[in-house]
Amino acid sequence: MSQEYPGPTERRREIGQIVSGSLTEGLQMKLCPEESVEDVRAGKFVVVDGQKNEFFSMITDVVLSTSAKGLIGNPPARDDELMRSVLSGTTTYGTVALRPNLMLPKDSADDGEPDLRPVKTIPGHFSAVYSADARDVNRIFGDETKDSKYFNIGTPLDMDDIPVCLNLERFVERSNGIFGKSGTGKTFLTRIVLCGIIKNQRAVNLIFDMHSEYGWKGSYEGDRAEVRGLKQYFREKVAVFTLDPESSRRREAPVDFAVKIPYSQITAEDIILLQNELNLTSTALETSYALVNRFRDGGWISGLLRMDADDMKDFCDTNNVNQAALAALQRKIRVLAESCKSFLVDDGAGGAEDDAVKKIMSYLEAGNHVVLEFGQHTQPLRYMLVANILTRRIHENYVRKKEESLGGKGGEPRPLVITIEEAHKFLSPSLANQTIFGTIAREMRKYNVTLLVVDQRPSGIDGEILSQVGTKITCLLNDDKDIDAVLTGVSNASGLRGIMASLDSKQQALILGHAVPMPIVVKTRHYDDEAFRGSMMESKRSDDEIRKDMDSDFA
Amino acid sequence: MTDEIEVIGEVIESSTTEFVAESKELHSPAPFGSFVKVGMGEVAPATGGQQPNMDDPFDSFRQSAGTFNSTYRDEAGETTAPAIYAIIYGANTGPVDTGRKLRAYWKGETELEVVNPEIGEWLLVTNFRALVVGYCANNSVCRFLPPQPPKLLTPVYPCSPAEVRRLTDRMDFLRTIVNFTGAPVEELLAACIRNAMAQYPEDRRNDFVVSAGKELAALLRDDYDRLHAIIRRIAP
Repeated sequence: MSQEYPGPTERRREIGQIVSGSLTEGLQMKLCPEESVEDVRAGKFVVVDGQKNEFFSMITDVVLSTSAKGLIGNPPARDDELMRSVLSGTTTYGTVALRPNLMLPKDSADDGEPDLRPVKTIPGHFSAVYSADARDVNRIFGDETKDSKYFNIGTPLDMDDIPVCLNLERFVERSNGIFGKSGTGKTFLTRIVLCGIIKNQRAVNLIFDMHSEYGWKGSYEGDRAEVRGLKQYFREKVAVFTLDPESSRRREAPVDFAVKIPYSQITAEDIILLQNELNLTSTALETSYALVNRFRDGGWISGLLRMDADDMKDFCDTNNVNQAALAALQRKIRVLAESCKSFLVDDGAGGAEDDAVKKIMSYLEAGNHVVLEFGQHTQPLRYMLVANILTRRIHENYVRKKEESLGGKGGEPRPLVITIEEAHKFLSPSLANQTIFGTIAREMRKYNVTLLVVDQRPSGIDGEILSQVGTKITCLLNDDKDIDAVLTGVSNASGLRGIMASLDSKQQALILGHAVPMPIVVKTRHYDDEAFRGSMMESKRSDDEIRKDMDSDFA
Repeated sequence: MTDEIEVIGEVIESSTTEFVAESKELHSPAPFGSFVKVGMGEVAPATGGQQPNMDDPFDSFRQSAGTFNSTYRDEAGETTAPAIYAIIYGANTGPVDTGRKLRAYWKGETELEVVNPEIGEWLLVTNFRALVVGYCANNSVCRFLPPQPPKLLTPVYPCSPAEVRRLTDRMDFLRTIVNFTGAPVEELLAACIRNAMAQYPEDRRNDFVVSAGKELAALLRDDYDRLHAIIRRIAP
């Protein structure tokens, strides 16, 4: 033990003693009589002071125990204060289940990166358990002020001034997930994480903003009507694209670019992705491929839409396609074209300069971040179609660039994080193998493209993909299936299950995975308060100036 | 601070674990569950200090016998007089001559005192019995049995509040009582905790009772009903 090591009592508060435990089942702590059971919260970060190691652990369960058999049948009267205080901590006491996550040898040097190791043993009997202090949190989760790769995401439970940091460098290395029931703060959390990535320039972002909450401003449940979007924080670095310029105007949200997608960008796979939404039959794929072959210039959609009955008959005869299936496909594509007519344009109407993909790529290559607002087009059909078309092409670009860089022709493409909401629609077991998102989630960082999956129904996401998600940030989830889904691919998940179900419904999240050394429950930091603004704001210009600039861009 | 304290009895039977004393006042023994002390000589510390002279078999006895001084210094001073501490667990009043059965006199109390004063002075006697719970030697309080029992015919004094507080700042005496079989243990525990509590300042009484209760809860962990009965007797 190093001489400098400060005695635990000098900085931490003892809350109990280890009384039993095992490496596989976790540790049992008897709570100190003077500690109230109600102060012990699932998810709290504690340190077990073993003889040779410190064990950084998380509280996973709290049990009321009694050593007297007769007590349960004959509890003290409600007004019997003395009896209650006598029993508390002696005959009746709290037993707390701990899950040790990391251990740190006591003789390791205090300065530099701590020598954190996975837990391979357990502390001895009656080792003291302390609530962690600021120094412990900093040693484990890093310090934002010392290294820009760390980003403050919140504070541990019951420790209000101590930041828990995400390691952004590791965060963008893998696909990540932000999960939680509707209204638990997923969007706020996502904004915070995105702000961190943008501010520390760890990757470029492409955000499919289904509900137009990330770009200029977002809504807020509660006393404030709105909060700032990413654009207001990072004027220079964030470009807002929109599918629905009308909606943006109505919301007075300035945008940089209105996205139009020519029919020629839609492939047969994009249509198949929509098979549930469009109610397509299984023959639709074959029919589509036949059409793609027929219209080799890429104009298969416009070709199909232009076909009349005679054309169809000819086509079916020459290509051995069922005419009824072709007619059905045409009807359905027509519905699609009609419902998306504000941003899907016929090949003739637009031009190369309207190509949203190229525009987005050029922004991303320049190191800018793109928020694509959907405005009124929030139906899953449109969202999925657009997200899939754009992502597929952007991914192709990235693959090409990465291969070129491997061949020595140019630098590595910047890491790209694609944020998708309602991710279970793209990554459901039936679709995960077909959509580009499934591919990205599985192949992970090979091509420097990763996903940030935001979803309220993780059980709808393919298990294979969930198991590959690097860092999971989980707000409250109630459904057992969802909890199970989030814990796919997590070892020793049993303790975390209870924690996840006991999170507060607001501003609390369990973070586990690649970007944090151990799972931890945090009270997430406030988004868009003074402190957050202070740490984010680069541009000192007023909102009006930014708006004026953007309006001129847009015009 | 020095105080003359009044003798309340004299040891007439003595053993290592308990003693019987005759009460100075008829019908007024030391209260049930109260703390008393009997004088004791200095006990030589285990290491250092003056070693007993092995050639003289009476030397060690002399050293430990000593004389008990009725004056003492409380915890604000430096020393506490060497003494054996005990808790009163019973008292009885009866004829001095156990072979002679007492008969009723059919007179009022006042008349009896005037007409037959010899009854109070010669015929009747009040004794009380005390359970030894610890001792003080070399200015340190030991909460276990003394090496030697109290000497016969030595005076018994009530413990001062400071001595009670010093003895009861650890709850070891409760275990001695719990394991005692010659008295109504539940009543005795409750009485002595109430008595000890009264020696603490008002603001510390509740803490004392709770910590005594917690010690009892640990001692009686298999007998919740008994614990409950005792606590009910303590609660004001």
